[in-house]
Amino acid sequence: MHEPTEFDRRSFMAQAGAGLAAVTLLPSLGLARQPSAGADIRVGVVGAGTHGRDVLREIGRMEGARVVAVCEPDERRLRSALRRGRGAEGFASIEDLLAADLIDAAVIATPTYKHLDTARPFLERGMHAYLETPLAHTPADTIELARLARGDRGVVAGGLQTRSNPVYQLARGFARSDSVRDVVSMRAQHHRKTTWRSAGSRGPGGDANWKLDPARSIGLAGEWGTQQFDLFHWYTDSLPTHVRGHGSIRMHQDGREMHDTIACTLEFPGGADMQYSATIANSYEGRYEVLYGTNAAIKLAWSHGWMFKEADAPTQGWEVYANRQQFHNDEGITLIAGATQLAEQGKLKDGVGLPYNSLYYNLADWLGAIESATEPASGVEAAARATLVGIAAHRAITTGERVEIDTTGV
Amino acid sequence: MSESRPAVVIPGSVCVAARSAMRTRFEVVIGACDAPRADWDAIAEETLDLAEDWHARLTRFEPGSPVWLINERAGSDAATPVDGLMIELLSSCARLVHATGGAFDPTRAGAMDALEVDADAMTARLKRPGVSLDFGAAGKGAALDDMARTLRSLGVTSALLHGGTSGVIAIGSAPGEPEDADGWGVCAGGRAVRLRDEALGVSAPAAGDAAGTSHLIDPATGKRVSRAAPPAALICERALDADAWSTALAVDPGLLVPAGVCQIEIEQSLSQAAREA
Repeated sequence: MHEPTEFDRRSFMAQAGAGLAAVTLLPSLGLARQPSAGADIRVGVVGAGTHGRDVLREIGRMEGARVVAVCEPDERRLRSALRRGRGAEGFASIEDLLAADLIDAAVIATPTYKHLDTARPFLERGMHAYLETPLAHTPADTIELARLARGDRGVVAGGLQTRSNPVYQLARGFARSDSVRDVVSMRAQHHRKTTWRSAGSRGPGGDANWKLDPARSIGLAGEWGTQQFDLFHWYTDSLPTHVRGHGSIRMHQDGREMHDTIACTLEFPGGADMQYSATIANSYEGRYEVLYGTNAAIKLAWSHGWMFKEADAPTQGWEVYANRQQFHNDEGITLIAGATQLAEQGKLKDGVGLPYNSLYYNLADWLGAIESATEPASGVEAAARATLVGIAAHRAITTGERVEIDTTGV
Repeated sequence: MSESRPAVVIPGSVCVAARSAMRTRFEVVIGACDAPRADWDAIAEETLDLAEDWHARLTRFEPGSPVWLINERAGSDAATPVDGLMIELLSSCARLVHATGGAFDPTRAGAMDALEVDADAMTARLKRPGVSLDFGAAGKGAALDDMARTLRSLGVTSALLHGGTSGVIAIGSAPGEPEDADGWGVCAGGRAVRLRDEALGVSAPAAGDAAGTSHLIDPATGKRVSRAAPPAALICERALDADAWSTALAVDPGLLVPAGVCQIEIEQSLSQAAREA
């Protein structure tokens, strides 16, 4: 290992501030896949709660697909969703929706515990389907969904939003290169102050407050953590073998059993662990993931990404032109998707941060895959494995036990 | 915060929730509801989600939003897909531009004729380059109307909601008061008013941050309104109308308001104090 001379030390300290150098990344990155304007894919959204409404909004921005049907038994939610749509027709049941033969593809946007029953009729008909992640709330349902999707003749996506996010795709290249080099550890969090209650439908079969029900919910680790755990599966091409964790109720003393604050550790092969925290009692710093390597750390915050190089990491020529952001004592390279094109247009600084959210890119990728009859970036098997990890993490937190993670059933 | 903006006193045991959106703070206070008390927080949160939804719909600063795309494509043939709520808003804005003689104008340049809306295809575009849409004077009102509609649909019978306190909607009466009481008590610019199933909009030129000029633009001249111009406060059935009319009156204090719109006087001394501060 090179021992820096006194001269080297002075010069790099002068350039690197507190010890980290910023590097600009100007790779060429193709535009995110999406359906062409003439594709006209007719989509039905099943479930008009918060997520269903988000799906309506994002597909509403696209030119190659349109939501032509919304299926929701709750009349109030259906009415609200149709007002937010672009001329979609409303249906109170899946049977009615399928009988109308209006759609080419279905987005399953019901609560997690209903995913299998909701998705089954579409998958058994060989239709294109988008399944949210986590796929299900039990290992058995997860494996069954993966089996049904395998037998399906349509394009089935597993809703892993990081895999189609252009900044995350860009960062993966660096994470797997000498830019980051050896993984030291990983960390992620999801903090958002909320009650996690839902003003859903009440009565038999109603889904009001399902996230707080231990029989129907896989808690913060399952509902939120699954997406973020998968990032590290994808970046490292490996799955954790065990998980341990704990949880507590720090704020919502309203008689609930479900923890409002959790922390867990996922043990990956080779010893690089992932630390995860989630809370609905505080919003500070929101949602992000960090991969620490021996040459650099990468921080990803869904619409933005940065690389923080170590002072002794090799310097590359393009670093001189880096777009950088200062974070207290650290200076990070901004990871800009489509940077080459933006630079040619003189809009490089405008490119910091994605114009659309991760759900948009994930749906667009799935719809683009339908048009081109190819595989989506977010496959169901990867989503199933991620779901099993999330379910295991939830079990570790609620039992206090170190849980072995088994994804062989997928 | 300008002293001519409404101050709200929140009584008793109610559910209060807040969220940042549209560059301000939205707050929902639920005083009574058909649903169990344990569900009020969820109802408030679902309602505040709509403020974020409207932010995503109307922001002109974030690439990818419908308004940003419409503005970016001004003068081209490319129409931007918009949803049903946007179609409703554009239609309402056209009505209000006409009713206010152009003093309220989301194009801020007397260019509403450049806006082409196709309600069948559900698209919108600006036919001329250099024209842009800015919903700063109406966006919060539109969001508040949508939020109030949602609260009512969820069984809320008493609530107060505001977006940065320049727009307030009251549903029913304040908790603890008789059902036939005349609503929630709100103080605006030293003037106490009662609101029941109606909205209050306040536009205060003195609140601008540019030296000598306010944040308001006169669509007729394209110039900023003087901070010396008097504030305007109105009560309407809908927050969008209250928002638009208060802006219009701040731009043109001589405008006559129609039936159904109630203008209230805000004390000049307070707005003068704000200018001198």
